[in-house]
Amino acid sequence: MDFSDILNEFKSAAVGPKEESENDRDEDLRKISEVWIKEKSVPELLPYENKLMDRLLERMRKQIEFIEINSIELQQDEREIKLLLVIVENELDRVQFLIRSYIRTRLLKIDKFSIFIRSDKEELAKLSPNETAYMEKHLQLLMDLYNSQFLGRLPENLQALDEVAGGISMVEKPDYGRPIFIKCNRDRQVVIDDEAVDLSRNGIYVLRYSAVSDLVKAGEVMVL
Amino acid sequence: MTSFKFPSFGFTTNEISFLAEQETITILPRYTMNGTRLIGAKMQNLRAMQRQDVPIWLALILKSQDKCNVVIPDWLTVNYLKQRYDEEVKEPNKFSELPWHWLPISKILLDKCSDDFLDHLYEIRSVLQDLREVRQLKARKGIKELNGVYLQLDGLSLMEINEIRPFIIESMNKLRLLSQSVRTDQLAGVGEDEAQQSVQGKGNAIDSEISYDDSQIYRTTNEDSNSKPSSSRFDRTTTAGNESGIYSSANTTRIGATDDRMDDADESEDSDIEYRIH
Amino acid sequence: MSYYDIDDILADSQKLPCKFNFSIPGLGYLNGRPGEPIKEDNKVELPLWLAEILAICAAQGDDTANSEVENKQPQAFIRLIEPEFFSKQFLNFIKSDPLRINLSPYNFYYKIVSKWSYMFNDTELTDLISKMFVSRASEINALSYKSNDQFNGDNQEFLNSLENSERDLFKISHTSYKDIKNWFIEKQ
Repeated sequence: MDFSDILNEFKSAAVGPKEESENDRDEDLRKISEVWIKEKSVPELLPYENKLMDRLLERMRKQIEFIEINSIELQQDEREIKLLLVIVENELDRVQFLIRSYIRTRLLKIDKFSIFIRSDKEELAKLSPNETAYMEKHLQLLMDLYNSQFLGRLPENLQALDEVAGGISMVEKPDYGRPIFIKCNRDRQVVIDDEAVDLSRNGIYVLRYSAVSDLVKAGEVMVL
Repeated sequence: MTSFKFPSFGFTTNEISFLAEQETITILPRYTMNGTRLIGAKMQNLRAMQRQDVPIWLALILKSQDKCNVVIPDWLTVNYLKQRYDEEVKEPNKFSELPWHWLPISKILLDKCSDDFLDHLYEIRSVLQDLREVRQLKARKGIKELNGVYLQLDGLSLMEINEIRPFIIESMNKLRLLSQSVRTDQLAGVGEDEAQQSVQGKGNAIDSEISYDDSQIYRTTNEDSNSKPSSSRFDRTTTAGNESGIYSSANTTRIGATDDRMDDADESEDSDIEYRIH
Repeated sequence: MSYYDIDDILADSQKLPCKFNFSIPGLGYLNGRPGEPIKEDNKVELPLWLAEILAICAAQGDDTANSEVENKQPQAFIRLIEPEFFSKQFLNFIKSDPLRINLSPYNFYYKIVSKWSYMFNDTELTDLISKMFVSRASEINALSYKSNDQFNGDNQEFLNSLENSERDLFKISHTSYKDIKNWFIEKQ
């Protein structure tokens, strides 16, 4: 018994950690769903999930290749291959949907808060390189449009789009006080309005994002 | 007139259904067939008549091709659901325990796998309907406890939460904005003049014909450039440039720095009403 | 409050009654009599954004001020008069019967309450209005579950008395319920 165990271990070690386990793959799908839900529910932009996206995109590429290769070789009426292809395509579509919706939600937020994001290093760090390029170009296009259409003809001291000196800032920031739904994984306490509020394990709560933002960012509560 | 925001920060029923399809379910394959590598965990090889757990979306594909039968989960039986229903009726302040995705999963299975059910379909549908209604009523009752601070909704499933999500978020937001308009602490960074004003207090706003004299709040004569109070957006008397950059076509793509706007961070106290369903 | 939020801008343009503290030449047009000065104690309806500023900014004293004026505090240009929808009567009605009060003529009521309370630090008002909102919101939620043909007379009256943001709330809630109902019914 022991000997074959040792042999097996040796075998798997020899194959190397290159092959991700099925668990990891499953975990990644769970992660992207979670990340998608978070990005949709949270009022501010969350940091871009670089590594996760890279892994997923890589695997998607492989699946697309797999489909292409197998579709070409489909000479006989191989029902089973067809069915497997349907399954693979279906899953691919699902993952693509998640990724697209994730990116779209982020782009919506970026559009809304471009000026604010640009002015803050921490915020800029949350963008992927593609998103940063998108934001710059988009902003430039908008600025050119506004200036040529009407902004250029306003008196000079009214031309700014980023004035913060008046009573209301022109720079649109995320509304950190917006409520979000969370589920607690263990008993904890948060402070809202100088009051400590007890949250119990497995409880579902609606509260202001500002009260739980640290917990959300650290992954310690589940966003619904 | 409000710009319609639903569901840009919420989910559609289809999206919730999508999430439900990721749950696993047991199937009974009718044939043996190979599995395949997937982006997620791979699809196992299937052996005829040997139970296997797969995600629901996969089960649906196989079922639609007549390759398997679906094992209806234990909770989707008339017995179990009737028990839950009785619990709901017995405990008017608590939600009974149901699977997180009970609504979409039951709908999907009833639609696509109706032949796999052991119970009579109309019985299942009817008890599901009853459960749904009693829980909805409870949820609506709890909404009366709405406040601007927090709400507790233990025991609801995801789709039920999503049903009332837009309403709750909008209402809580309004309540929060209302309570925030009255500042009881002076950490807003607005300046001592306003602190003075609230200390003197304006008391009874309810007396008629009393004129409100706000001259105590600000003097345009003595201002430090940092305490920019709630002058209207049309106030341009100050600032040449050091506080805001000019963002115009001219050239500077640099946007000026300091944002001395009052933070939303400090909020005044709200009422303590909590909605607790234990 | 967002700079670009249309509702904020519209709310700011709602009129409030004010009285001038001074006579000011040339502003007669505010009163419908252009060319004439505005007299002290003239009552005028001004939009919120203007009223706010004028009530806050103090008139600067003359250089030729005599000692009497120096001792007086600089006065604002106008003073705000309590509008009808903040009168004791109105608020008492709210307290006793929040569901029956008709808010539809007072668009942006809640926003105006916020701004007013901010100016005068009126916690009582916000508490009262918050409570009213909670009762009305619960009723809105309960009604939004019904479909259009199920409303009876009383309910219809209530729905007609909603302020604009309450109507939006109703729409939001109703759409959500309707989506789920439709999803249930349709066989895929």
